Amino acid sequence: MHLKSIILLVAVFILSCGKGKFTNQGDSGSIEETLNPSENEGEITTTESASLALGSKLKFKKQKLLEQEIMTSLSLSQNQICQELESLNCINEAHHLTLGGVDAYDKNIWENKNSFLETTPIVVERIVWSACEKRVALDLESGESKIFSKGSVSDSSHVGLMVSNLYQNILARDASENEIAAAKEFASNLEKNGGTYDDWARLSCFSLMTSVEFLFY
Amino acid sequence: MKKSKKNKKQVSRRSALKFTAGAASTATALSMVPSSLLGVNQSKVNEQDEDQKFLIVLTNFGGGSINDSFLALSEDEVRAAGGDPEVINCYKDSQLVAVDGTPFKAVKLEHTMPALGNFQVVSDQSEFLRRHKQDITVVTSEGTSVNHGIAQQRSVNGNEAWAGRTIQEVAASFYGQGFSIPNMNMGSGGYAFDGGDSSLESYARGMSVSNPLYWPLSLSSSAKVSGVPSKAMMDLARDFRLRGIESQSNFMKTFKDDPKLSSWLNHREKTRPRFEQENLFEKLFFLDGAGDAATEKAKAMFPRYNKDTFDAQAIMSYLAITKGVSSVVTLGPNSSTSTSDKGIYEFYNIPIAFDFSHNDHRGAQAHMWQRMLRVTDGLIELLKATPYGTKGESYWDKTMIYMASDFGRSKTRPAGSEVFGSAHDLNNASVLISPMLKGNRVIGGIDPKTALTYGFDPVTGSPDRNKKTSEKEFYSVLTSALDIDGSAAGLPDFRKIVKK
Repeated sequence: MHLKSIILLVAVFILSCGKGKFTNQGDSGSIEETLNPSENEGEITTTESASLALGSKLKFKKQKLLEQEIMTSLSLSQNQICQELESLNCINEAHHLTLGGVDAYDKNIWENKNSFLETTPIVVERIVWSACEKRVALDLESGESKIFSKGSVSDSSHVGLMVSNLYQNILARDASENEIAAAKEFASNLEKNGGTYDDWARLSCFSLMTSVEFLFY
Repeated sequence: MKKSKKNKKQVSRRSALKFTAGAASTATALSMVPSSLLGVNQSKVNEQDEDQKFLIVLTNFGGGSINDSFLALSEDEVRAAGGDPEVINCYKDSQLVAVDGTPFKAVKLEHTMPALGNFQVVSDQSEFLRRHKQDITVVTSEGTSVNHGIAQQRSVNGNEAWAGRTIQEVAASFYGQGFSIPNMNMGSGGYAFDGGDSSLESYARGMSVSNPLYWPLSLSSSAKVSGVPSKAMMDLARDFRLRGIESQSNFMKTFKDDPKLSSWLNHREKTRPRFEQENLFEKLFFLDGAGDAATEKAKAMFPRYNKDTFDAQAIMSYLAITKGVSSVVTLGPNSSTSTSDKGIYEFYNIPIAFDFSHNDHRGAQAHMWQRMLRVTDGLIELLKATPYGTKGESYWDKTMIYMASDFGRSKTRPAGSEVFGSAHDLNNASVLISPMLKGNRVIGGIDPKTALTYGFDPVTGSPDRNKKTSEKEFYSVLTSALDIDGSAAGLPDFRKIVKK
């Protein structure tokens, strides 16, 4: 069997395995194609100039823009988003270079030629998790309720409403019927695995805000 | 000449990456996928290759002058050569220590720096020289730029000697396959730059590390993060993100072929699980009592890590190499000031590092060389004490240290001055330290009359007063020292000159 066919089979098998299988997968072929590395390893590059040379039309929301977007989407102040080791601002101190920022005074890096680094997705997950947890806590415990209101993970109608709020706040658009259905399926899978409404709220926020549609423009 | 690793018949990382898609349950597919790509822990500590080499690049940020360290000249030497010892940057006998059995000298200086509030510099290079002279090779060189950023880049890329590749990238390309982060770069300014060769294997590119105290947090999505749910729930959420959100979206359908998106998804879906599976955070994080006995040893060797980034970098370097994470590390001071609890009465890093020589050359050079040698000595001792392989070797036996410098400093001073400023000078020499090299010698030479260094005969290696060592030749010394075949880039082979 041709080698590339084996790769595709493996990839499709993996993505169809595991808990929480999504029946409504949309154009799943696009993910596999995007995940498979290019033949020329040099094309998988993170420098801005190299990406432009390869025809990239997207930009990653670097440091300051990412911070602003999170603040706006989740109605949080700068200090509420994320602190590493309870003392360092995640975006401006701990991970500024990883997020595409500069460091003129200490490291004499006046220009960051990288769009992002290998570790940037990890850092983004850390930051977004912290921000989402904060938003959910404020919504459900203090009663501010900017995005989430109290409910149950098994209440499909309520979940659908919350998903709409999420998409509107984070992606500034309505969720499609397919997207709402997928989110409801996620809620159901989570409940089967012992997840609570709080868990679902945080994880939904996390999943949407670490998706490529939010992070790139 | 050792053949390029690319010529070996093995599954290269490039071809192996074509197979990757995470863990699979199909036996046939599994048997064809290298384990390194299945996310299996591939710690290089457990696969200690006899041919493995490690490169540590220590950056003399701002311009460390060889005239103020191992090729320092005495007044008598300058006078005997017909030079003016009042004008040439040379030292009194009382300021130099001649160590038996070595052509090098050690500067021993106590100096008051008026420009830094009369900060007292106490410097003595002799102990370092005694301990490591057999492993020290000083190689003369002459650069082509007095601009810090450009000169820093050229000191590691040989002024485009190999399509712009830095020596760190080349070393990682040859010796970094299978390491989690083959090329770790904690350098600053031009030392932090990539080489810019787009054909370089992506694994060999430098991983930029900002602050080594906190940077390991970027290797784990959950370490030290409060409220993170179980791995099972996180996996569900990530799966939902990939197939429930992104697969559904018009955004993905529109941009699925965008190379930037492809890069991002590959990092997110492959790098993160791999880094977490390889426990990189646990290996490299050393705050809050974290780490094992090796970590404690490193922290004891470099106790200033909370106040002095250079100490923290040194700990990170040792851990990265000996825990099988990296084959190349770059570290060095930057332009920021750091002090002990005594404030300006005890500088760790003086402002702008070696470049403070503009204000007080003697003080800046003495203090910064002392700083560099202190960390170098600590690293060597740690590596010597850490076994490698099964043949009684240590990590030090496999390591080369290259002390890179932007450039030298001007060779003259106001008559008789001890406190004077110096400018940038293209002429200099660099220090290599490794048991793999024919040590305890100078490749090239120095003219005592002018304090200018000169080059070497590329065939015999003998000093040649009519020649200057070019950036490309110096770069070739580095590749030869690492047993790397640079013929594809037209680089000369200096192995016979450099290696044991």
